[in-house]
Amino acid sequence: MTQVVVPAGVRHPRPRSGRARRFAPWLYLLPAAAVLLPIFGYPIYMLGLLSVFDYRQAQVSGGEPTSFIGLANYRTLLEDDKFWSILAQTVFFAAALVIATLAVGATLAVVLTRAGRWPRLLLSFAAMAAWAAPAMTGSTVWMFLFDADLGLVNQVLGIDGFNWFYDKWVTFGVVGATVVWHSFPFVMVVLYAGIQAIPPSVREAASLDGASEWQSFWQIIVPMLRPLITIVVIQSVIWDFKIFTQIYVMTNGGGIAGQNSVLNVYAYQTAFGSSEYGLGSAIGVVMTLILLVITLFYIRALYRTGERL
Amino acid sequence: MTRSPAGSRRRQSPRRAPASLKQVLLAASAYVIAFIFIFPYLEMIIAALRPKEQQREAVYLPDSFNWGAFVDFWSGGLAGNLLVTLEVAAGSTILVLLVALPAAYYSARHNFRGRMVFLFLVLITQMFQPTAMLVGIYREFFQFGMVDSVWSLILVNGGFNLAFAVWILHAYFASIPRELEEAASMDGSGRFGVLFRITLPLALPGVVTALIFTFIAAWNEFVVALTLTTTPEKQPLTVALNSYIGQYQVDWQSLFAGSVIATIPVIILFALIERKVVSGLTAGSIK
Repeated sequence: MTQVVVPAGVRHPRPRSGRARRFAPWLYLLPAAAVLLPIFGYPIYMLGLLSVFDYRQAQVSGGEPTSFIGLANYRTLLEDDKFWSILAQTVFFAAALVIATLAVGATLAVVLTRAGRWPRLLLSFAAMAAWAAPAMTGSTVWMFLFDADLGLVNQVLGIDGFNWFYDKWVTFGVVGATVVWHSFPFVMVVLYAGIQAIPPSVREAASLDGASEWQSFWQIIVPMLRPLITIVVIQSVIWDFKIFTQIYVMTNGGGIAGQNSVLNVYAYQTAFGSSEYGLGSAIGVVMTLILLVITLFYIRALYRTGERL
Repeated sequence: MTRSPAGSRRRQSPRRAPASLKQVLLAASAYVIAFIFIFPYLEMIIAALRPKEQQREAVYLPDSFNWGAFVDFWSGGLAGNLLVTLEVAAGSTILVLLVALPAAYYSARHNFRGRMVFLFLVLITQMFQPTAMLVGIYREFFQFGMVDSVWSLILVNGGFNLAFAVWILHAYFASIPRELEEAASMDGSGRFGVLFRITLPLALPGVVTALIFTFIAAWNEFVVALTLTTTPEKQPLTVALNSYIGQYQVDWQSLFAGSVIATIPVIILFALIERKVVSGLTAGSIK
């Protein structure tokens, strides 16, 4: 049996009863469960519960009784044009971010394998620095670079006073650049390691056959790294869909009249900004369901890569 | 076993000797890109040191540096926030390792009922976004009188980073041949002797990866702390720094001095473990 690590009789002459064996897993798993349960169990329960209640400032302070309103919060959401437009721009923004992150990360991974020692070291260092930067500090630096009066970008471009955080799509562009700056290193580092793991003979054979850089990327690297790329893509999708800090900090909570809001920020603002806890929870549930579907794809991809479980 | 990215170290196989135009262009673009990516940091440091009277002048490098913002950081009480951040990051890391190690070890070594269910439940926790759970988390800690407490932040950060740690440790333990442990126990090592002398050292890269990832994630966490801490002195650095960003005005010097201090430890940690992280992330994912 695979159960026994120490062959019975060597050190542990005590025969372990069936009952002990049945409970053994819990001894090891219980601590993890004890941490996860209060952090996820109750809040998820509350999330679901609040989403079917009328729960606002008045109810929190006890001024009005909490009342069950069924799916009314969801109906409010479905009829709310703002919710739909935010959902649409969340999906669009996340998709653009994933594509940009992958393009930058993959390109630089290939550059890394080709570049000499010093450029490679410097590039790795730059990536590490961007990766390590807290979302909070990264956001503020980029805000400063694009500041209307003090920002270097405006000074260099000679457009003093231009406000990058006024037009909706320009704002998304700047915030997007910040997010990509934060997240490309993960893609780059993982893909670089993957490329290194491809036997050099394969790559050399391709270049001897006269394959161009472009061809060998699409016809050798991508197919061989498919499992790795799948994981990177799905991780990026989950990460970019949940984006919060950059939007919250850089657009001061969602931009002018909330035009730059994404679902995560919208849920937060609805719950904590407007004290509409029930409605905010309903948004949270919708988001969670979308992420659940993405995660199921992730699990399937993990299975496919043959990760030993 | 883990695949080390050792290839990067290996000398490139002899290429056409003279540096071609392509090579030069490649190196040049790598330098330029690297510069662009590092640039925000330079900007942060220079802005933190720029004297107030030069803030509105169109000179990139100020005539003199003003260390006032850094001095204010220490005298102005933000040192206390830095300590909170340190406590939260260290506390969550210890918590995560303490509970993830047994779970990962056991689920990698033993086949028991509900094993896959456990592993996937853990994985699914990764997708919950803290913002959606904030109401519940807040109520919970409020009921136990743990708002504004370091312990609540440690627990939440521990919970949100457990999934990654369990999975990466699981992968490492699973990659260590069982025979090694069996051989050691034949030689008369006890169960814990085997664990501490054979298994844990072999899984060390995984342990380090889990450790650093948790530490950095907890160090950088923002949303939960924004909600769970209301007293300025009890807030971690990320939240405390956010208060420099006003609706109409931003105190850039103080903000960036704080940001530099908040970022440096993380970069040092990253530089220390980059290689291990990479091998940990790609372990077993390439066939």
